[in-house]
Amino acid sequence: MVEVGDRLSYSGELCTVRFIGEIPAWPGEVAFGVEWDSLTYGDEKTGSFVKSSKKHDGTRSFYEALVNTYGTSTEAKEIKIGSKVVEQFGFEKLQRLQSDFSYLKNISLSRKEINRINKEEIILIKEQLPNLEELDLSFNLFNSLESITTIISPLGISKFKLVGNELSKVGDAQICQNIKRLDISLTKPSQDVLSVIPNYFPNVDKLLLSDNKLDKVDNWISKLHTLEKLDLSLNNLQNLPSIISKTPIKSLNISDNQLFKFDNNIIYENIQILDIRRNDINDFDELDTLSIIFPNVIDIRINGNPVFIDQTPEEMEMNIISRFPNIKSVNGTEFSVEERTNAELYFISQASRDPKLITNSRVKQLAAKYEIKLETHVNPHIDNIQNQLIQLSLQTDDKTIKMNTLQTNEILKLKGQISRLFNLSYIDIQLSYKISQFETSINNDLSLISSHNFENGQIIYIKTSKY
Amino acid sequence: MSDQCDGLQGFLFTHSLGGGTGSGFGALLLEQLSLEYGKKAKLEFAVYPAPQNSTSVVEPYNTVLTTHTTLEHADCTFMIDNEATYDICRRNLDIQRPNFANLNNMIAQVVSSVTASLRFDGSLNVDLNEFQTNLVPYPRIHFPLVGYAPVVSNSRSSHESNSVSEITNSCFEPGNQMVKCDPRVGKYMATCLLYRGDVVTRDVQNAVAQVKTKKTVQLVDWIPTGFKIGICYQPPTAPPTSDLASVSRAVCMLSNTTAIAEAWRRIDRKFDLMYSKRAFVHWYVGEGMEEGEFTEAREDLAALERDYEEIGYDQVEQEGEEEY
Repeated sequence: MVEVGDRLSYSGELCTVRFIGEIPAWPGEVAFGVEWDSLTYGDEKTGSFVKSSKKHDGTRSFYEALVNTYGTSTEAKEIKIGSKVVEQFGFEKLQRLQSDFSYLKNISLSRKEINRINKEEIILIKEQLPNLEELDLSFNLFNSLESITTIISPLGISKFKLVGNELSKVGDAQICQNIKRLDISLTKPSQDVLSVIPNYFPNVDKLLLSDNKLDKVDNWISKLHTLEKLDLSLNNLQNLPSIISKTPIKSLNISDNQLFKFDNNIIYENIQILDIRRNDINDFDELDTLSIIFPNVIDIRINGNPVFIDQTPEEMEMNIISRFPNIKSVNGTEFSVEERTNAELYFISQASRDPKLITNSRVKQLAAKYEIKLETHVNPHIDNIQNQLIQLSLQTDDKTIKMNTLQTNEILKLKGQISRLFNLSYIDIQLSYKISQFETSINNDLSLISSHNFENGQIIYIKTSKY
Repeated sequence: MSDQCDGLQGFLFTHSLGGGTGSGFGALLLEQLSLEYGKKAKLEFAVYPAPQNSTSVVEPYNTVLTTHTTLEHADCTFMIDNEATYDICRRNLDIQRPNFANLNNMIAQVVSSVTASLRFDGSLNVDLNEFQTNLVPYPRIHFPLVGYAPVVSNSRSSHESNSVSEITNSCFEPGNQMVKCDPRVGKYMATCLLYRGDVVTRDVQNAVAQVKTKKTVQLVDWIPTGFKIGICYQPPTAPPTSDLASVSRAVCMLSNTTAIAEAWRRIDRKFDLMYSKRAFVHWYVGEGMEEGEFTEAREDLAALERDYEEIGYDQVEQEGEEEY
């Protein structure tokens, strides 16, 4: 009998039953209100009503699925592509091997509509699967820790994968001592379930909690004393969970969250590998904070944050390498000593242009390392423009006007300026200057002003053909 | 060393074509081996210069010359294109600037799964000669395309279920192949799918039945069989520092397709551009080569291109008769 909270599968689409009863549209018929796992409308889950008479894919017990998948021999079907028969090699042997369950080290029973294990089967699997190390029960119909732990606690497995189920209830769960790697991504675990994970999986060293819509991680995580690797990617975290600083976790994956600000008082000393891609970091100051709170990180992946949006991958790497003194690998690429030197010098050179950076402690540290004196330069570009200004005094027959212009301008441009100043037509203007009393006319419109080596205050004679 | 072997199967060569020791000395060594061990199988993994990013100007020369020399000596050459590998790293593993360590990791993984059935208890291509019988219809047409799936990074793999049908489909996609070319425009002469790890018969059958429905997978008519599936129970492993996630199953596709002629055409065109002006040729002549060798090598490659073309044409005509 189906109950509220049960999981069903309709032609491969998994859903959770949220309502059972009659609805006005279908009088005299029991309807299931179901929430679909994979069908979403934007970020929202979708649900719909399904008549209870509609056939769902059924449910299986663990052992049934196991026998069905690995135990039964399938007749080698003949597959043809065009006129050609697909030849298959080694499948008889594989089947022979696989039907001897004691040979199996690795089982995947994903999408097999499993939701339970029958009591008499527990002894069977304990006897028949002595060598099993890895079990994958992804995308099945489990909904409580109880049903899952009754399967895995008799087995000696160390790696367990449960992606795409739903962990809403705890129930009468059992302790699973052997599990080292636990993958409960995409299982929408309730806080109740999360808080008891240390009780039932005390020896986990790798825990994957990605895509679970988590917005916080509570103290339960610190009870996992052997935890080394934690995956919190694809969640809704806006703050870095500070409890992680009190855990032995070495590798933290917190990519695809919404982190943007970090508290620089909490130091995460144990973290060596940090993956913080595609968050909302949009300020280099936060990057500085990160380098303080993760002092021992050696491998960082941080691309895809808005702060790098208009930077090339090379610039981004330089900015990261220079800020983190101990890293050896950035965004998945290891770099050489020369690249580090290069990046650090680049960072210092940036500081000399940006007065804001000059107070940065990391810059000071680096400047000391390379014995470079830090000073803010006036932007050299502005310097150049001032050097290039020249004053010309422009003389017509009746008046003189002094004007500043750039040496890099062309004569053509100078003529344009004059025509505006004196209200003359540009075509009529003829320019000339004097070198020790000889008058030289300027004929080449495209030459630069600088090419004539004018002095400051040089007199330029303007003649117009009108006169 | 090889004289001390009890049952010498053959030689596996890993070298580059673009320049340096790989193309020059590699070709010479292969030639020598072919003289001394004429009957033994010689397989190559050749790193082929990429269409866009290259390290040296004379890559086209080196490639054409090396290919000419090794064409008759090697029995089967798996080509690996730096740019394709680079793209796989960037796209599938989200590495912004892959370096040689990343690329080599990737290549090692592929080579490992090509040779898995040699080293472990496999069922198809269990010795080096079998590669040749399965994949090489003509001695000159011996450049199979390699595809590998799944290529996923540590963070994402936990999430994506790498079911047999998913990995089978993705290894037929151009994005998972080790040479930049479009297999959809070519015809498959022979295809081997080598599964590794935890797979069950039924899943494989369903997956292959799905591939069958794809229009893009077209086989030539003149070989009666040509699509083989093999299984090796040993799952793939990755070194702890690898960017690749550890997965319980993988598939490697080896297919001799006419689409790979595209890669030859590309390199020949570049060769022609430079050679028409005799650019850089003096370096080679200075080292004791003759210009005649260039022309000879180029003609050989042109013949290779033609060979591929002919195979393609045959098929088109025959298909036309069938369909209309």
